[in-house]
Amino acid sequence: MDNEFDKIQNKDYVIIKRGNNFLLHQLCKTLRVKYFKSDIDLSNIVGKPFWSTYRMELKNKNNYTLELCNSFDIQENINLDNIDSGIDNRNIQDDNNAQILTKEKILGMRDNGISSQDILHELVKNSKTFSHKTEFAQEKYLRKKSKKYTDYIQILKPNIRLLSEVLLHQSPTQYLGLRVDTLSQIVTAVNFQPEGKYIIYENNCQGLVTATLLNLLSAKGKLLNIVTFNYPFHKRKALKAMNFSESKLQCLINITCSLFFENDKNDEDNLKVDTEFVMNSEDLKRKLSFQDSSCKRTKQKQIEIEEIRRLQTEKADGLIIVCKEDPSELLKEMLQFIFPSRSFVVYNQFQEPLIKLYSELRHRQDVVFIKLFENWLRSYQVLPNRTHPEITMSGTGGYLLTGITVTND
Amino acid sequence: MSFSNFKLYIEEGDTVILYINPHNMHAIEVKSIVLNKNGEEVENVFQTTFGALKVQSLIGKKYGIKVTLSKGWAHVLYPTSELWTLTLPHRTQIIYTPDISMILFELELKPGSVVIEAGTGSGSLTHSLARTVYPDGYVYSFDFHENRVLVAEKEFANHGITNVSIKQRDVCTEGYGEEIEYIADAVFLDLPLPWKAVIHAMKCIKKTGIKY
Repeated sequence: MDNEFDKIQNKDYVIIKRGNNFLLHQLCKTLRVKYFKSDIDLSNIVGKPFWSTYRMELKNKNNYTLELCNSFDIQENINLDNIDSGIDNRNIQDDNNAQILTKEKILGMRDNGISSQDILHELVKNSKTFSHKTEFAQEKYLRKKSKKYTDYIQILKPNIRLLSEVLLHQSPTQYLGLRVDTLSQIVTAVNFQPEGKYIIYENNCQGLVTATLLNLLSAKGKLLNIVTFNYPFHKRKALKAMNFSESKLQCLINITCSLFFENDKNDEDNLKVDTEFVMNSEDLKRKLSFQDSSCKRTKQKQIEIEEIRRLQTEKADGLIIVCKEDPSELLKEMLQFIFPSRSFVVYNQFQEPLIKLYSELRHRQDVVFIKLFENWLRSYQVLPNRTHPEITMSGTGGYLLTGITVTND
Repeated sequence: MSFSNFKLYIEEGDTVILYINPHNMHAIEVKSIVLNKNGEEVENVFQTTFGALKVQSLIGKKYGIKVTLSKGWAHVLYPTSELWTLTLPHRTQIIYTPDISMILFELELKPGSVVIEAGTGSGSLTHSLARTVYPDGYVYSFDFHENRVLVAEKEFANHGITNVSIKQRDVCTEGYGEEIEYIADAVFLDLPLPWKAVIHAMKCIKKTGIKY
């Protein structure tokens, strides 16, 4: 991989990792970020390679700067060898009196820039019950505390795997309950080939599926993205967070939904509709640049119309529908735009609309191998003698309906 | 033909999927003439539970076409890695599509990636790997079983997949070879003793390649 490409630049999206917490952040002019109540100055990371680890240095109250450090030097754990441990918890009372240090004192230490390891040492030294805890409990206690007082953050480069981990974990409802395994299966179910031409209709999923597919496309491939008015490009967080290059974004062609479905109308009509749309939706601030943007939009519209016209002869190699609404009508409208013997996949958070669609498709002569399924994914905590399924996990990752088009000619 | 590209019409030498129903699918190589057990050249007729299909009749037809068998009908589909996984001749246990999807996702593969796989087995995963890293990427696949390597090599040649190399090698003892040091974006191990192959795998992964 090109090394220049991996340097952090201003305006890039980065993922900030602190302990086991992640934050997706776009670098902005001030180069500051508020994270866990601390105000961090990020100016030191610009121009540095991604994946580096930094130590947070206190400047003044709650203000931190970052110093690059070698990830091998990080020592956050303290040696437990010289500390006694108990057999069980029969003598430990949960009475909030175990820690001698007061909250003010502990926070004071942190605000004075004392390292996390020293804070941990103090906490252990001043805990009345620490030596009665079992080894497991001691370890757990330290892990919990070191998470709270950690001085280290790592700057990660957003990729699809990390993004889905960060975004889907934070707010699954904003992504229609999509889970990583389902996302990964959308890709295989549609036989996604890097040089193919695909149509995607994605609504209410922040552009995550579009970003995943665009990432898998080579320069010769094409992704036609059917966009609805109320869901424009700049709202698609995941798509922006991938820091795609300009040349990559050229493989993605956004086509306005209304234009796509009204392709019988002649072009001039479409252009008129567009200008009206601009008039209605532009807000006051942007009225000044109205002329300019209107011109751009007309040009964009022409590209879209050309692409729609091309679809009549040069159909697509696959269809992906990910949406909140009932996908039946959408799919039936769009099936005509893909070649025979190509796959399509429909994602929905709920089973019911897909069951209805499934039975409708069963009666059609031009689709075969229709499957409706959901996945079962269980993540595990892996620790010596303590490996077990994770306590909290999502019950469903949504439903997929897949099929293959055929021809009767 | 190629599993990594699309095309519209069936040609001699293609591999196609004959779809009868979800539980009855066959991968067929489109050859007009085959050798019978006496070594004589005869017309290629494929037998299904719904009767016979003259394979030659498929040439020039569109993919997705409905064909009549002597006691029913079927569809001829374009071969995808997923359909191949469902129809391939098993020489070992294979990895199925749900797991393949997750493996491709977790390995962060994309066009241009270089990936090492051990062992090849029946080539189910290998097809998907090759498709994902196409066109600039490459798959280096290893297996310690001589016959499996030979059969898999032949299959990939037949399927028009050019970005895969398969070698017979026991990676647990011999490593992956000097020629592929520090070039891989990802390594996938599916072996009896994977922990023995990990140490060698460290030498293959790109020096810049960090996976947290």
